[in-house]
Parts: sequence; C-alpha cells; structure tokens
Amino acid sequence: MTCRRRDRARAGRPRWRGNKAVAITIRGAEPRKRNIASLVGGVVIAVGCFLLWVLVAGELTRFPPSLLLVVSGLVVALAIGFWIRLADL
Amino acid sequence: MMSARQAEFRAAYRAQIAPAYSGLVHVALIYLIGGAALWYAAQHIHGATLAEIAVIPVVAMLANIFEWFLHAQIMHRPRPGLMGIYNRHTLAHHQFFTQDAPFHDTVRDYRIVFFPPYALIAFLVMASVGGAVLGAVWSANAGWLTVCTAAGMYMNYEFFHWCCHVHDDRIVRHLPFVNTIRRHHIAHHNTAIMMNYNMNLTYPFADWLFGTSDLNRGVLGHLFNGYDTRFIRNDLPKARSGARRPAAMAGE
Repeated sequence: MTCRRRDRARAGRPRWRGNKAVAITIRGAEPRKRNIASLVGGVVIAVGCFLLWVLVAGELTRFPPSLLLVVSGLVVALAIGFWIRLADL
Repeated sequence: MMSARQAEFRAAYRAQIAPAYSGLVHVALIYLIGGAALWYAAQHIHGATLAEIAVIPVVAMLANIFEWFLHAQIMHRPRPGLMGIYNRHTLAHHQFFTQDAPFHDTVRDYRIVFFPPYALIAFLVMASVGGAVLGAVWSANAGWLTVCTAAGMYMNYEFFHWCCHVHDDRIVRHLPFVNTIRRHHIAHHNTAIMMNYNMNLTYPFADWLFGTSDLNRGVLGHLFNGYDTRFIRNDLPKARSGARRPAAMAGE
C-alpha cells in the first residue's frame, strides 16, 4: 500500500471514483456576499420597468394593454430585477 | 503610468465583480429604460409653444446644477445614510481611475463606470414629480418636456462619463464638449483636487457658476475648452499634477 492510499484508509474517507466534477471548498475563502443595495435596487428596477412596460405597451396598442402584454412585462421586469441582484449591481 | 497600488486595486475590484455581471447588459438597460421613458413622454407633447419649449434649456441647466450638487455634496462627502454612494464613488471609482491611468480596459469595467440602472429609475421618479407639478400649475406640455429633458440629460451624463474613461483617440479628442469634459473630468481624478473641483460630468457650467472649476476663463471658454491647458488656475492645491497636461492625454 502506498503512503497516499494508507493515509486515505486511515482517515476513513471514501476513495475517489470516476472523474466527476465536485464542488471545491477553499479554506479561508468566504462566499461572495451581495450588497443590500442590489436587493433594494433589484426590487426598485423591477417595479419601474414593469410600470414603464405597461405605459409603453398601452401607448403602442391601447390602454390598458392586453393580459398577455401585462404578463410578459411582469416576466421581463422580474428577470431584470433578478439579474440586478445576481450581478450584484 | 499606473501605480502598483492602482493596479492592485483594479485586480481586487475585478475579482469581486459577480460572474453574472455583463457590461453590455448594464448599458443596454440604462439606454432602453431611458429611451423608453423619453419616447413615452414625447408622445404626450402636442403643439408646444415657445414658452413651453423654453423648459428644455431651463431643465437642462437645473439638471447640470443637480449633477454638480450630487457629485460635490453626496458622492464626495460621507453623509450618514448615503455612505454607499460615497464608498462606491470616492473610495472605489477614484481608486480604479486616477488622473494618470483614467481609462477602462474591458466591458466588465463598466461596473465601475456607469451608475446602477436603478439610479435612473430614481432620477426619472424625481423628474416625473417635477413634471407633474409643472403640468398641474402651468401646462401639460411643459411637464412632459421636463421628463423628456431629464431622461435625455441622464443618458447624456452616462455617455459623457463613459467618454471620459475610454482610451484617447482622434474621435473623442476632436468631439466638441466631449473633449472638454474629458480634460475636465480626468483632472478631477487628481486626488489633490477631487474633493472640491471639476464636479460636472456633462458640461462644466455649474463648475463655472460656483467657481469650482480648475480653469480661469468665461462660460463659453469653459464649454469649448477642449484639451487646452493654458487657462488652468495656478492657485489649486500644489500636489496636483493637473497643472500639466494629464499623462494619460499627453501621448497624442
């Protein structure tokens, strides 16, 4: 038994099998912390984008716009707000 | 020439940018939101009179003073409750960009060049309130023109500020107003004067008005100064290297 195998057996750790990707935890490395501003900003921009979407859609078609347009505006606004949070802007 | 400290700060800052961040999406959002707001407001303007159209230069001037005020009194002053803005601008933006190395390298650096898009929403809300008041007491056209002008000025601000931090070339060097604000803003990145001078980011009108410009000349001279360094005041804090042409602009 090589030294490396012996050490692993002593530690009682399972032997690594296959070549699958595993999560790596680096000691001392702290997880990325997002700023509270991106949370508040994400909400603000989602609300703002949704309102703007409804207003512009209403101007381009009729006011109030169709349910489909309103729902698509909601999806877009949520996506933008979520991205602001993810990107930590 | 970039100092080791600045290079170190840049590397650390870039390492902290979230993987999901995209500079192009950031910019696209700003201009889509600003453009949509401007377009929507413009749809409501019908048969504006000269007096109503005169709202445009007035609001542009007020926006210029507001930009100066925000920069001088909020972004460069640690105010309780607004420390995030101070940290982001004075402690981060001014370390990332110095007078001697004021240019960004990649679109990921847009993270520290442009305001977050929700700042635009806040600005549009403020402009809309002003526009609503103006519309109620005087004319709807004036109110909508207020919103249009404010949205336009915001996009102007972001574009000009970006122009200040792009590498020098024959286009930005010769574009009127752009070349003026480039010299003006790059000089502002001198740590010796950054807290008190050159606070405008679009047109150095408020700096001329309030005497916070590093130039000693009239309003038209300020607006069309370009890269000219002949009129730089000699009573500015001595540590500044801005009395000379900034090194970053000296090569051309």
